Amino acid sequence: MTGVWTIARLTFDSAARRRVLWALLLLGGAFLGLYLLGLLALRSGIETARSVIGNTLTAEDQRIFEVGLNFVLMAGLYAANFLIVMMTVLISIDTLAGEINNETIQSIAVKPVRRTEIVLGKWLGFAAILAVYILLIAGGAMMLVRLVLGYIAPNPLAGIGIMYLESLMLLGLTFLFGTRLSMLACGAVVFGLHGVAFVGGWVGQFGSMLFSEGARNVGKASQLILPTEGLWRYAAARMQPSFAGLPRFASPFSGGGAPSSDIIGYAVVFGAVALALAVWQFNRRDL
Amino acid sequence: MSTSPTIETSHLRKEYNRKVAVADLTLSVARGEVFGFLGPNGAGKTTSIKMLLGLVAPTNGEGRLLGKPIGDHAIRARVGFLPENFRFHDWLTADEFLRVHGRLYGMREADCRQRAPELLERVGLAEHARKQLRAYSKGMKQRVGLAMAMLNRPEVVFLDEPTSGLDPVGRRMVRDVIRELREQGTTVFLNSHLLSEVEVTCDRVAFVKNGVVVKMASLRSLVDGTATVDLRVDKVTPELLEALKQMGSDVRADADRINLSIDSDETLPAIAQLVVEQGRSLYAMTPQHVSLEDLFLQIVGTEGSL
Repeated sequence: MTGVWTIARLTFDSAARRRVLWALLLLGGAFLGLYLLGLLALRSGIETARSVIGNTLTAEDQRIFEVGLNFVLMAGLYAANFLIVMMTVLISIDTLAGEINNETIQSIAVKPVRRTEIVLGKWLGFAAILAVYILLIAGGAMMLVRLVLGYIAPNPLAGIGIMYLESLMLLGLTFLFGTRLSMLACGAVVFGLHGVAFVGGWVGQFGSMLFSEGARNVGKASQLILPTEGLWRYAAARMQPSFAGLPRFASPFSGGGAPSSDIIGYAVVFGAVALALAVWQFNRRDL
Repeated sequence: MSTSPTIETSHLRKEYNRKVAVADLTLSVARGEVFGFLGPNGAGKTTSIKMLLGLVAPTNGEGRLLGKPIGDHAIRARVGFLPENFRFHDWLTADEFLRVHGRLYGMREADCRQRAPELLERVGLAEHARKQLRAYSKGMKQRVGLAMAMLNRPEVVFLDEPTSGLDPVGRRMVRDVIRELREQGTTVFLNSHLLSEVEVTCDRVAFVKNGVVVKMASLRSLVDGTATVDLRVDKVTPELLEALKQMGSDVRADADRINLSIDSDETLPAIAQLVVEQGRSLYAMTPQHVSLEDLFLQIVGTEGSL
């Protein structure tokens, strides 16, 4: 076990020094800054409106107002989710392929540390980095909405947890391709799959809006290929108030057409299998 | 400590997509021996080391390291390795670097703390211990790699081209370190194409060519034994040449000189006696020992750069 921790710490420390991490942190900071400006503008708009119509909202108006606030938060979290996906792939993409290529791995792999421990240690190291990033970006977006507009979505922790699961699963997949492919090919495949899932998710959403069984099935199939988009939609659905009585609308921010809770189990298995295959492959390959 | 050989391999073979990197590696290295592994670039030296260390899985054949099948996990705590293109996370300082490796070896923290400065001192980097590796020159990186290879007090150390990138002072340091290791009873497996370095450090050498060990011998027998002899006689006769061909090889002659190669200095008196018995006068007999370099060129040939 010492091996796993040593590798995890080494991975964490070296990831923390990567330029791509700082670039994405900066990008995350810029996003939160812009988001904050938007929220402040929105607040003054709301205040102006309130000064005109007064503070007497019907229950129905109150609900529509809350849906609006939720939409604002979901738009922010959607952007955060995108950054998290980018971070997951970009930070970990060259850890196996790159270290095999530049031969750094050689002086590690000859130590009395199993190759399984090397892969798991690296996975843990990145998992720790990503946890920090997700708390900063997604947690930050939630915090800003809470501070500026005084709104808290339902199940915020579950939402963040599901986004973290999405990131961990994608990490397993990046590892899997990273043990076989070059860095560039690995990135192309992982982002490609994510793109398929994203577009498929949209098609599925329109399917459920337009009651088209075929389109809905495309959405479901894309979730099986890579459940990233499905997880996002599930997380969004958990963080939204019930929409009963409101018209359905399609947007990437919404949980419309969200999968059932089965997607959690599927994503856990998906990520675990990807990681196990990565371990298996790394164990067999020549370094 | 058992008396089984440190390294023992039998017909190890490695192919990459049907391209043969190592065709047949059969060798045995005794405990405490300094073993030189010589060959031109691309002869399969690095792949051989990687197979012995379990980094690369052999296509065929088998081997044992310190009595255990190669690739055995626990045995690695007793092995040191300096890779050819030694690279590591360069944001670590030399001191941190050695501690990380100590942990990977499974060493105790206190032991690491004591051992790291000792070794940095030994390889001449004591004053750079707190400098990041990225500020190191190639030679300094090679030195810190050497310290890493000795960190766990290994029973066998694999050094793959340890002097590459080193200046003469650094090369001398490597030679001294190898000598010290031998004195401590550590087995050293040295991959090198720098013959002068092998000549002064190794007990035994193997010559590899195209992935096959073409000759293996103790350095003493190689360098002391093989010689060319120049003879000056009053007259060169066909009978004399015929008789000399029984004693050595490459017999060449002109009017009064004969040159031949012999396997051992023991042949010299017999040659003198033969010349006299044939009724010839022997004016001079000069044995010349070949250098390892000549031998290398003889055995491995001149193709391929060194």
